[in-house]
Amino acid sequence: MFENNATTDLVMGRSSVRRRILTVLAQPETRLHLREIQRRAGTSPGTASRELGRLVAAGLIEREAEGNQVYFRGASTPLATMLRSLLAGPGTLRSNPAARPVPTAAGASPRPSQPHRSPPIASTSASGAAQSDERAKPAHPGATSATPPAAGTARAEPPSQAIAEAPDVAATVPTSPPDELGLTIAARLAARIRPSYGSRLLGIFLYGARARGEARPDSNVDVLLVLDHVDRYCDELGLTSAACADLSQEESLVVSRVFVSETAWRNRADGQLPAIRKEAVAI
Amino acid sequence: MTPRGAQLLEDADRTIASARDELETQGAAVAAQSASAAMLTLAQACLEVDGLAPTSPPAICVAYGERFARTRRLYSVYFRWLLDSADLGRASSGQIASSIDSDSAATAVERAEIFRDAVELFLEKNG
Repeated sequence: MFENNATTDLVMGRSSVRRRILTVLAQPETRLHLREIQRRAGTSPGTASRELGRLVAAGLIEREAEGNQVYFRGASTPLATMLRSLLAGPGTLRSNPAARPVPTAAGASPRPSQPHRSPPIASTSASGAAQSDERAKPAHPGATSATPPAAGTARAEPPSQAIAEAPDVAATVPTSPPDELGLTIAARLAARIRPSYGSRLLGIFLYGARARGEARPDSNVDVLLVLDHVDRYCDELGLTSAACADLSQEESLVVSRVFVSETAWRNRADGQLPAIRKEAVAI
Repeated sequence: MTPRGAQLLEDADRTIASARDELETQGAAVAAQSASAAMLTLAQACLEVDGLAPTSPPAICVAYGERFARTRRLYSVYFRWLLDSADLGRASSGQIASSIDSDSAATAVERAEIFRDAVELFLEKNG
């Protein structure tokens, strides 16, 4: 039925990202912005943007501009609907996509109650290594690629579910997508410092104005690192000092970091941590 | 050395002296914040040589990085110390990070003292 059909070739081709994007947008009422699609499909912003462009050109995805924000949804044509249903499998079109396991960098699923933002799940697992390189690619013109960790260097263990499920994490949906530059710089910082920390590093999050999508051009890039424990604060600063200074110089921005213990990240209810948990975006 | 440069250096001197006292009397968090303020004041003194007068901490850090770390006019590790002290100062508020240990605060004060001497030399030669 679909033989020699260019549209079918596009969908059934070798790009698993393309298929995942179509699966993410399987529900006709699902309308998402690029960042959310990228997160749910478990790919980089650049790859998601490229594949979305192809799918829009093929008439399988519709693009909608609303103010400064661009949204994507599955096209309502019979062919598009049929292809999406074939990819997603039986019953998928009737199910709630937010309740389905959707690939993330950590292989975890977003919470059903957070359809617009995946919970911050640190992608520090070895299984996420391949994707972390892809995710670290520049997401904006002029950015330089992240330096991937050297082969054989220590990587953190897979993040505990407890880190992802800290109280209040992503309990409130921010109105704007995270700042691309902030995400890129945070990813580059993560790539630089992971080898130094190994299994001590339990999570890396972008927070602050850039996580909320409210950044000015000169806003700091605020990064929060969850460690197994924090004893001498200056030791943690020292481990990340060169990477922060290099990135700050290269980008003419202040890359700021704060360290919290796993216990504080999970349990602390005072100060700014509860608010940060809500806005934090996992790197 | 310009009058403003001399004034900034004097301000930094006083803040570092306060930080030393605070280590003993008021605790690590207060001392760390004073050390951070001193580092920023010293960076401002350097920028004064170039006729720049940024006031916000991020603007001071960025301008210092561009003018002095990138160009190696001053030892690049001072830029790291500037950023480290700024982050330690923020952490010392206790709003995000847990309590700051006294070793870290003492390290920040010592670094401010070393940076202060370097800046004084720089200003004498260039200011």
